[in-house]
Amino acid sequence: MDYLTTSQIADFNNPMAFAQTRTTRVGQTEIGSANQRTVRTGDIEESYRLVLGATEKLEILSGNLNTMLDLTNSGMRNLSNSRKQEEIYGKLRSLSAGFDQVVEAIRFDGESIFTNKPIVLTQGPGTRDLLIDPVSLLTHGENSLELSQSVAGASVGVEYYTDDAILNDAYDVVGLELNQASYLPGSNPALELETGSYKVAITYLGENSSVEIRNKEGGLIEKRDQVDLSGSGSEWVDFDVGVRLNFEMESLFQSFDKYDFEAKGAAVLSATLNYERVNKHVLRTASEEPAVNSAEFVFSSPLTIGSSQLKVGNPQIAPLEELAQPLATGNYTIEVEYYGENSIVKLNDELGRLQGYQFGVDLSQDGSHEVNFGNGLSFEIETDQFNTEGASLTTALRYNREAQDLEEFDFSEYANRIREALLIVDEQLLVMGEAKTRIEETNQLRNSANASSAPNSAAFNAASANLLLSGGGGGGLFGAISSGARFGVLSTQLFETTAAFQSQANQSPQELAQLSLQGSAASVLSTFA
Amino acid sequence: MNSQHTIYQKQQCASHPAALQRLLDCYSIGIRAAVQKDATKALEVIDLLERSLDASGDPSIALSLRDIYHDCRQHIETKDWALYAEHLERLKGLWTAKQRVQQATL
Repeated sequence: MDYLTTSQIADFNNPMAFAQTRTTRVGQTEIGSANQRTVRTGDIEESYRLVLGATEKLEILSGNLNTMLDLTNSGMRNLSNSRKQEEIYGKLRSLSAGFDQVVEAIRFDGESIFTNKPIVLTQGPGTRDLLIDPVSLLTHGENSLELSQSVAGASVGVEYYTDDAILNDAYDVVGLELNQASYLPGSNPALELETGSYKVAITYLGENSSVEIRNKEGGLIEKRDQVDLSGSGSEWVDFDVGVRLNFEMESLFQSFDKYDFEAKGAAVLSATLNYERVNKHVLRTASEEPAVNSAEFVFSSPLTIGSSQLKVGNPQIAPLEELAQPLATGNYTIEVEYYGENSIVKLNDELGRLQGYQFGVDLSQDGSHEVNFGNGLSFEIETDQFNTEGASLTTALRYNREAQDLEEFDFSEYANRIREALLIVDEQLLVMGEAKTRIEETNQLRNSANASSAPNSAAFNAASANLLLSGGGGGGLFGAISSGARFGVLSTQLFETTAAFQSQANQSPQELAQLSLQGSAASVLSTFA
Repeated sequence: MNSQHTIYQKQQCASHPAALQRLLDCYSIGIRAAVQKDATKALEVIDLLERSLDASGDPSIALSLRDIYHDCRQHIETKDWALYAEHLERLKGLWTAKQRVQQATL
């Protein structure tokens, strides 16, 4: 990955790049997921294989992190070069996603072992198991390396298949196209669509059209009535299931609009909606959650003259029109100058610079009038018997737009996170190294014990788990080669546990009495007299 | 949780004094056997100690003790009474210390 082309940079930085499929609804936690299960090896050989394999993979992960650290340092040196920054950011996205793939691929018996699952390394009869509690090495999620975030989203698209084409050909509707669908964040998660294909049914009746989302069997999922598909321009239809449909319209005929529904009845059009639940791979360094798109009037007092009234309301985040510069986060002033059907609406930023301008807005009729600047903001102006020419209403608006991740990406902060991640991976390497040594010692001890025909006590068949490297020195079964060392180990073990007496103090009074009586009482007494 | 744990420990300890005394007596008999150079008795003591090991308590302790008793057997075989007696004395001392520490912390 030396240099990325412009097209590669665009691909790597596409929000949907490196997204992973999601099975749960937005915000839903998977209960009893695979992450909760314990990984348990069958015997000492499997334990050894697991430790060796994990060590090898951890070294690869350490190498990947070092590459990411080099890239981040390069990003810090190129703060004024936006293309270079985009390239480095794209590479970091790719490498961090690849990192997760390696972590997921470190599996034993089908279970990934570095995703917060305890590992019990069986060492065979008579030797207690080693319990390793590895941290999650994924770059996202709780207790992870925190190098990325996994943000719920969806990949949504509109297609026209043969069945749609056959249905649509039955009506000669001209100038109406459902050309785009997108995921609508913040909608009701409980209603979220499952991954799959759906049908969009459009009943065209001009400004009283309706749009439905149906499942493949024809069952209605959600319907939107009173959708104005008349005239020219764009129309966005939002559904509670988390989908936004974008219609492009063009009115070509003078006698009727797109289709003569008054003469022929409603036209029922069809399209296929493909919805896939995904988790987006996001690299972000800001500790705060990114600002959610929002727009609100700081105050919206109406302009009242006598019994007539002019007021603004219902500010909304609207889709961007093509080639329009998106409105930045900030405070704005909206000024409505009333001139009947030639009214003027202005949008100024805090410094007074004009950011939006609509001329010739028809406010002559009572009711609600939508104003859409095309830059991501729309709102409504309501008039009630208002007819004072030259009157103006000024109001303030706060607008938040979700910033692009790269805009707020701090390479220096990210470098610190990578350094912390490197420490964690190094710790895991140490844990695995220690486990490897212990297993080797167990094996060695067992072999020597067999050779010297040590008693094969069935009492040792019971095995229990103990924390390896828990900070207290652990159970040192293996260092005790000399008698002196064995006592040292035993001493540590005795004072670590509350179950020590149970291990040995089990002589019955009868057994002890028998032992005492077998010798000559007189001789014993004489010895200690 | 902590109070429950303490109650459990107290109960455990309360049931142990007699058992622990028997264990210490067992070591004493073994030490006496060493003094008398009574290999039979010394082996009987080790047999009893091994038989009464219980891995369900703490397997690592049981395993360590078994290893030490294995050493003791070798010392009996080689008539190394001094080492055999020393081992039993050290074990006796460890158990006594364990009991004192546990009583002091309750």
